This record gives sequence, structure tokens and C-alpha cells, in this order.
Amino acid sequence: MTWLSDALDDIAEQAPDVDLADRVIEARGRRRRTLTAVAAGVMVVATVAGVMAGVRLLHRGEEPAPAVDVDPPKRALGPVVQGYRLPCKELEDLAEDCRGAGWRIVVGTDKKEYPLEDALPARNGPLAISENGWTIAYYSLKAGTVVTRDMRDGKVTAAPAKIPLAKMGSMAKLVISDDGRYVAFSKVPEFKDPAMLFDMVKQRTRLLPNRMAPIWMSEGADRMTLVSYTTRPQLMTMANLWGTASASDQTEVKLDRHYNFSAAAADGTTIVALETNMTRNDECVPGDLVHLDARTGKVLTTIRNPRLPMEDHNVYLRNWRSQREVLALAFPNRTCGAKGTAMVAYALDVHTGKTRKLRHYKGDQFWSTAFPGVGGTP
Amino acid sequence: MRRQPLAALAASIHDVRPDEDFREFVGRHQRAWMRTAYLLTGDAHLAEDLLQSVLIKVLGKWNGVARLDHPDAYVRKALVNQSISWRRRRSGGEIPSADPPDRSYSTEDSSVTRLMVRRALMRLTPRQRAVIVLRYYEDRTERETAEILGCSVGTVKSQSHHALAVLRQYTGVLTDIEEARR
Repeated sequence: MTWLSDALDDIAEQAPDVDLADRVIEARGRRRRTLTAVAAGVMVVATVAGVMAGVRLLHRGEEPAPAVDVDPPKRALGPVVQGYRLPCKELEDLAEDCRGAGWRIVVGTDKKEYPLEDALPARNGPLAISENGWTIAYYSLKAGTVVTRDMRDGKVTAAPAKIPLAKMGSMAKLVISDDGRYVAFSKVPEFKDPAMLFDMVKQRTRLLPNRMAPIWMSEGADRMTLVSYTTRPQLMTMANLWGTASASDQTEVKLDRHYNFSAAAADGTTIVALETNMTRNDECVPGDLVHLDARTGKVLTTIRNPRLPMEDHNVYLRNWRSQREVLALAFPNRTCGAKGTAMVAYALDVHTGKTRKLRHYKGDQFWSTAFPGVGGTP
Repeated sequence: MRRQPLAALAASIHDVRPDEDFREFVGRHQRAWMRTAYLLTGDAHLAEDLLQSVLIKVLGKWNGVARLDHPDAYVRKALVNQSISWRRRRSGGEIPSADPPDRSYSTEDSSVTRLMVRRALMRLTPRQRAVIVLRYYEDRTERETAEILGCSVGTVKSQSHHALAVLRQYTGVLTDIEEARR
């Protein structure tokens, strides 16, 4: 066998071990069952409308939001400080890819934990927590769509449009507004169905561009900033989301480098991002920290070699803690020699690149943890 | 107790049996498919998506596919061609510009080598990448590769030549495999 064959064989060994048969059969079954008037109507209108105008109103109803019977108990539990899925090693009788690992929420100052039995587990089961921790959003298996749960009284509200489980893709993301009223849903791959923005109070739905993940939402969710997490990411800003959108309400720019983005700052246009170290010769050397303008894609400032624990960790940027600091989560990267599984949170000074260690959290992967506030994207 | 009508029972059996066959078929081959998908996409999540989307289509026409002499080959062909059309559509699929490595690595250093090759693969076009995977990972002949890709042997040769040149450029250690194989 040649040298190249050996190298390819070596790389192929890293392919994920998954059992797709049941998922494919399930997807076929769901597809059949979702040929109902409502679901089909929403999706067809959604697709057409998405092409025509980017965003348009799908449904405006003044009827009360449907109640959904889900776990945990419907009573005041306190603000949620973190959501996480158990690391694989702590679970038994699970598939190797941990698909059965469900979400747990950590509540209040006493850090009491509750299993979120009704939330879709696995990598495509997203969980979002509002900035103040009083509302969470997740995909409810019983409701067959996204729901929000008010932690003050346990009230659960379902989104106005169903999302078939088969359309949840491999990686789904939810973003919830600071007041918990608006929830944006997106996922990869996009298939032909749209990403959506839900107004959970007035039960309205807006379409969002596919394959774009929101990283900022204005008060009232009238403006958004979105990114695509690919090796050549796009930055997009959208305005007038609940009115009649025009071309001037949207900006779109493509970048030529791969970044891990933070959430956008309060102005909706300032983003900090770490240049992905995959593009460097050594994956374990920190990428530069840059300030970007979301409207133009221009790099405003570059901080070389930020002092992050990147040499043996994967670092993801999240929401802004102040005008100077963003939350940075560091997950051990075994490829770069990291030991242990603890995830560490840092406050990253976006002007100097210096970090302050905050605390350890549960969870060992980006896709299996959730924190209050709008996050960035990997 | 109500009896299930015979026709309904027959229909449900008709539905279940193909699913079982399909499940068994996928279980037997999916590890190999996933490895190929991973090489074609360079990403675990995309590999999963790619294979899943192909299998959904295969399940849709399972009755016909199951009757083929080599249904495995059918899936593999679909996988390769789907990866090419996916990567054509997805403009973000390539690693952007970066300097090539400034030194050569010894072939004994497998982890570094793997990293270099993996990164170099991302610089290939979807079709070049498919050619490399089919020829040097699956060890297929030029003719077999051409059949899977639906192109001529000459195209496979030229794609392979260009792909190896790129790999050589970005790994710095690649010997002339093309020549060695002739």
C-alpha cells in the first residue's frame, strides 16, 4: 500500500461511528406523516416566500398559544444558569455517538438539576437560555416543534409552526431573545425547509435565510445579525423583520477566512472572532482575535496570538459580558494533548486578548452545553 | 377482539420486511460508506449528512435497488456523486488560502502526515478529491473510477494528475505515486 493510501486509511479511521438505518427509516416515516395540510402548507409557502423576499409573514394569529404537557414540573423553579448533556463516559447503554444523552438544566443559585425529558436529545436537539435565565427554548418531542418554558411558572408555549423531527438536520441551533419572547431556529443541513423566527406571544412566524445562524437579535426582534459557519462564512444583517422587508433592509458579505464568531455586541454590528486555527500549519496554535464589522465584513482590529488556553483547548466565543469582555468557553482538545474533560469559562478582553478564568462548568462539548444569552458559532 | 383485515396485515408485513432488509443492508456496509463519506467531505457532521441523504433516496427506491447485483456499489456511486454536487452547491466547502507548510515531515510521523494530507485534500476540487479517494483509498482502477464518476478514463487520469500535484505541493513529501502505479 502506498504512503498516500496509508494516510487516507488513517484519516478514514476518524470517521464517526453511527447507525443510520433507523434514522433513515424514521425520516421516511416522518416525511409520509407530515403530508398534512398545515405542515405542507407552511413549508411550501415558506420555501416560496423565502425565495421571493427573504422574509415574509407566515402566520399571524391572535388565538392563545397552545399549552403543552411536558416535563419538568410546571412550577416556579428559578433561573436557569446552564444546560448540558451528560458526557458520554458517564452514561451506559448508549450508542457510541451519545445520541441518547438528554438535556439537563441547572437551576438557581443552589444549582439544582432537572432532566428535560421532553427535549430532543442528541446533537440536533438544541437548547437556548434567555439572558436572564428565566426562559428556555428547546425542541419538544411531544409538541413536535420548538417550545419555550417560563421558569417563573413552568408555562410551556409551543411555536406556531410545526417542525418535523426529520427536518431537524444534524446540527440545530436556537437563539432566544433576552426577554424570552422571540426564538430563532436554524439548522444544518438546510434541506428545502426554512429557518424561522417565532414570536411566541403573538404566535407569528417569520422566515429566515437558510443555513444562517443568528448571533444577535434586537429588542422586539426587528433586527438580526446572522452568520454561516462554514470555511468561507457569510455575515448578514437584517432589519424591519416584522414589516415589509426590502432589499435595503439587508446586508450580506462573504469572508475569505474561517472564523469562530462571538455574538454581536449591543450595536448589532460589532463582532469579535477567532481565526480558526485549522487554516494554520499547526492546529494547536491560537488563531488571531479580530474585530469585524458585520455590515461590511471588514476586519477593524487584529490582536495577534491572544492569550487563550488554545494550545490544548477548542475555544468558542459567546455573548458579551460588558463592552470589553466576551465569554469564552474552552473545551479540552485531546488531539492537542489536553487531559480531562472539564470545560472552563473565561472572560476575554476583546481589546488586549487577555483572559480571566471564571469557573468550570459541566459538559464536554460545544454542542452539548447551553448558557444564558445569545452565543456565537463554531 | 377485532381481527385485523387480511389485506391490511399483508400490507403491514410488506412494509416491515423491506425495512428489515434495508436495515440489515445498511448495518453491513455503513461503516465503510461512512469512512468514504468522511474522506470526501473532510468533516464528521457533513459525512453523516451526506450518507443520510443518500440513504433516504435509496430507501425511497429500495425495492428496485435491492434487486441489483451489487446494491452496495449503487450506494457508493450515489455517495460519490452526491458529494460532488453538494460541494459544488456549497461555496463554503473549501479551506481558504493559507501558506503551504514550510518544511517536510517524515512519513513516520503519522499524526502530522494525516493532518497535512487532510488539509491538502480540502484544497482539491470535489471531483479531484473523489478521484483520490476512489483510486488511493478504495484502490480502484482508473476504469472503475471512471465508471463510478460517469466520466472517461482520460478525465480520471488528468484529474488524478492535477490532484496529486496539489497534494504534493501542500504536503511536500508525496512521492510520485501516479508513476509508481503505472
